[in-house]
Amino acid sequence: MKCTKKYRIAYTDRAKEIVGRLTLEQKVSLMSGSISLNDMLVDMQDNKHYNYNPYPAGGIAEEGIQPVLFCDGPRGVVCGKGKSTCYPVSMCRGATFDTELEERIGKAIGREIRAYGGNLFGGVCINLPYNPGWGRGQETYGEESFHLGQMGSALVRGVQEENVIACVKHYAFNSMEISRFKVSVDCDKRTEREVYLPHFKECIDNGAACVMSSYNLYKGTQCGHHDYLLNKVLKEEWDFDGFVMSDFVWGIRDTVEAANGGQDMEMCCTLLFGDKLVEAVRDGRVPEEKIDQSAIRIMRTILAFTEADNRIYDKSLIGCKEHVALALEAARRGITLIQNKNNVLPFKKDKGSRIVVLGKLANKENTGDYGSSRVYPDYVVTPLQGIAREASESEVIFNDGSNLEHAKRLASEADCVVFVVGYDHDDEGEYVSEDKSSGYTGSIGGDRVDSLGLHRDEIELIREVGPVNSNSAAVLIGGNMIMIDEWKDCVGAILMAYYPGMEGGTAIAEILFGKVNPSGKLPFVIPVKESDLPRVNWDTTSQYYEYYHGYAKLEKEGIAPSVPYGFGLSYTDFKVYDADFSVGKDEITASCKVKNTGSMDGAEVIQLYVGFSNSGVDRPVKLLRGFKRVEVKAKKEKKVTITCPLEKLKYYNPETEQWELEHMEYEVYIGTSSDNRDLLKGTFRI
Amino acid sequence: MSSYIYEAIEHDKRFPAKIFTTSIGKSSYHWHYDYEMMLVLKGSVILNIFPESCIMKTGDIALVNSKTVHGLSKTNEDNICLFIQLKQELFENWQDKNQNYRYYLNSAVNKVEPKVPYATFIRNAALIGLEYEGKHLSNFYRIKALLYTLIADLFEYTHYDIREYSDKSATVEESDTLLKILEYIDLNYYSDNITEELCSMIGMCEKTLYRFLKRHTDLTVKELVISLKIEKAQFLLSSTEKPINTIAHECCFGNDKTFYRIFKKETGVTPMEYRLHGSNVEKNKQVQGYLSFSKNEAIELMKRML
Repeated sequence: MKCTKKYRIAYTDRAKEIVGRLTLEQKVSLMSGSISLNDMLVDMQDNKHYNYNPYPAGGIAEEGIQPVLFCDGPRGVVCGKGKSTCYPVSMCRGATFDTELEERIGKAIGREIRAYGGNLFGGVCINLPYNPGWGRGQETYGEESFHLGQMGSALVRGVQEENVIACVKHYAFNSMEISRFKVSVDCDKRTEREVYLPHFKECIDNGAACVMSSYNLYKGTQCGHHDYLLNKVLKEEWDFDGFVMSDFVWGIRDTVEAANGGQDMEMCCTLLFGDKLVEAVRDGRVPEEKIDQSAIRIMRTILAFTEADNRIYDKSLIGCKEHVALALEAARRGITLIQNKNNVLPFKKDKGSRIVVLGKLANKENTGDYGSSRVYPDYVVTPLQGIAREASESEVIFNDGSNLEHAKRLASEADCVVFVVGYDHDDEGEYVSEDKSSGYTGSIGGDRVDSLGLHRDEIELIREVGPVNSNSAAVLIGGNMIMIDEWKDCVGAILMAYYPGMEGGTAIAEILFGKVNPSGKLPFVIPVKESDLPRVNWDTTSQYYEYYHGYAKLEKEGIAPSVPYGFGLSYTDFKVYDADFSVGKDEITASCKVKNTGSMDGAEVIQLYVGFSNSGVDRPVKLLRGFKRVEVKAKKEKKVTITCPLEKLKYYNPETEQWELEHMEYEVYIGTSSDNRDLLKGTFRI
Repeated sequence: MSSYIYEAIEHDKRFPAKIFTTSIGKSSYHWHYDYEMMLVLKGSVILNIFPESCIMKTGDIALVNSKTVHGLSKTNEDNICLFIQLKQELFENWQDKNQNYRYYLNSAVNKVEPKVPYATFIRNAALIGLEYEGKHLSNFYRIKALLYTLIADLFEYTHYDIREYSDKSATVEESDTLLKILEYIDLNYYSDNITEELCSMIGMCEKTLYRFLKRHTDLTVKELVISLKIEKAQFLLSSTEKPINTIAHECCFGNDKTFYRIFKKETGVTPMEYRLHGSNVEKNKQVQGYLSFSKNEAIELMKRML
């Protein structure tokens, strides 16, 4: 990456010099978006859509300073229609546990943004879902802070490799959708520092040059005005050199509070900054010093990135073959096999065999929500199309399953049955308001307020029709955890497909019929009961986030999950052995051998967990602190080494306001899921 | 006599459908690419869609799906039926050209009930039939609208299966194969080794041939041969005075006993009973001769179904 923090800092003097000769009005003009609300609405009515073109902000033509040109994500680049590559949603990419792949996706996204004429990617979403019912869970990578930090950083590095600014969002505590404009989140200091902020810091440490503040409030203060979060933590403690932008239109509520609170840029229209901000400076309510700081941050970043290269990115890059192949690769690696009774999968696809596909989602182009992350690709391969192509010599029959007797008859005459069930954009996703006219994306979405399970009719379908033919698989479509216990015994295999992108149907079919060996791992825990998870009031003005959530909560409370965090099956068998653990000056090192003892090439995600049972304070039983995806050919073995800095073993002491390393014996685990039965254990002492 | 015929339907030049009312005597097993909607306006008819057959009475409606082998025959009652034959192109999905649809709509069998009363479909079919009798430009546009309404109703109100192809344009060949198979059976039904001969002619193994026929016609070679022989026998029984053992021999049933057993099993009556009474719903009634139906009567009947 050329535009590292060091490189950007080198632009400080020039930025200061330019800012020094600008008028107050010019400086303030750098600090907000220049598209009008009306322009946005026209786009939506004119057979285009939100962010059809990159949204500009700032820029001073007479000084040759380019505006920020914002392109949303993360499913790909939101601009254009029928062109961009649509990748699997972040949750599916999170399930790959493959940072190298995510970095390549970042580069490909960066290239498409450049081809659209943009220079900023607003799609590095790393919010941690306190509860998986969050409607926009699909835009993030999973429930685990360490994993979020690693995956988000990979995307940042990839995007910025192409000299496109990566914007990390939504800072912070943004994991409720319906209440996002009104909810104030509260939590204790350790929860804040250990659970909800470390992944943001990780991305900053990896060079992210922009941060988007969130809509919600934290401890009663709008995050877009939050002096503590923006000035103290982000800019001072973390020494962030880039700039902050607000979430769109409703991200700041007050000119003075926002400017003084550390907000650098109002997006994506000028409503509270602009003239109002100039006036506030003239009235002495906002010190001009604040404006200078913001202007320098923006100027420095934009200069560094826009002057980094003279490369021309041709429009033909948008949705090109290589990028679409990458979308397919991500789906192949992310889709997660979580049950495979009697090895029903992979299915055979003999000539003339009959494959029955049930459930309306099989015949639907379904790449995720219809909010600000919606990408408009040239085509989408549905699960049904994927199956028909992969099993081209079989008879592929689809029925929506709404008539159970008929579905049973079809299933009884089939060689195998595939249920495609789960969600679409109506069930979950970005939500603006009940009054759609005030929304800028026209989305419905929202949180999963009623249930984290399948729809009643889908549960009934699987429960009634599943037992008719044991050669069956359920393919789950959705952006986050879906409950399975009510019906899992009625079906042979369960494949979590997330929203697998424009080539998702292809990948699903390749896995169902064994062309591709699944290797995804769940980036969340599946509990037996929803009540095992933290409780959330989705429609509220205040929500407390407890220290524990997800697998750490279940494990702390001694509750066995239905499927553990980090779990995923393969068509081959892996043996993990010869574990070795050692402590160095700054890091711990864990290694093991992975042998593919089966007959099919495959990939395994080796995970490193550290346990804190000897801690003097309340800490999780264990936490993920490293992972590596390895491909191992049949009958071959590989040695895997994972390191973890001691820095990552610390806890935050709210008394001293310091990160502290406990001197004690730690447990350390290496293996294939968070379940102790899948892990080899050791100890080390610090 | 060719029984398993592929029927090439001549559509109206003005729209992609053929609409007509007729009285059914006997329509032997055949298939076509069109979807065929039939509404019984008067009396009753027997609709055979292997392996099931049903008696459709006045007011019954059924859709015979594309490429489905089917046959019709009269009962002892006079009948008048409305047929609407719909070109496959009407069902083309512009979003996915690789799909074929199989709708479940048959009020006589009512195996998979539609989501609205059958009356919705009956009314629309009758309207199409009536508009067809009109001569104005408005009738022409009305028919087009009603045809599309009918298809919309099928998608919205019936349960249907989708057959998804990898590449439908490459499967045209498959239909030609079916046609070849049916023709071959029609001409060679008497052969003892018909399955083997078919396999070598088409280049399929026995299992593939079985699957292929099941998929397209829901019938096996053996079933196809038997129903063909029965049909020939029925023709000879009713149109000639040949002795039954001669007919059994001519239709390759081997001996009288086998002929008797199979005929009774397939038609429910013995060959002699068939010769005397035909295959009737109410066997005690006198077989009525074929009557040409009156167009005016058909129109009046359709009006009553609105």
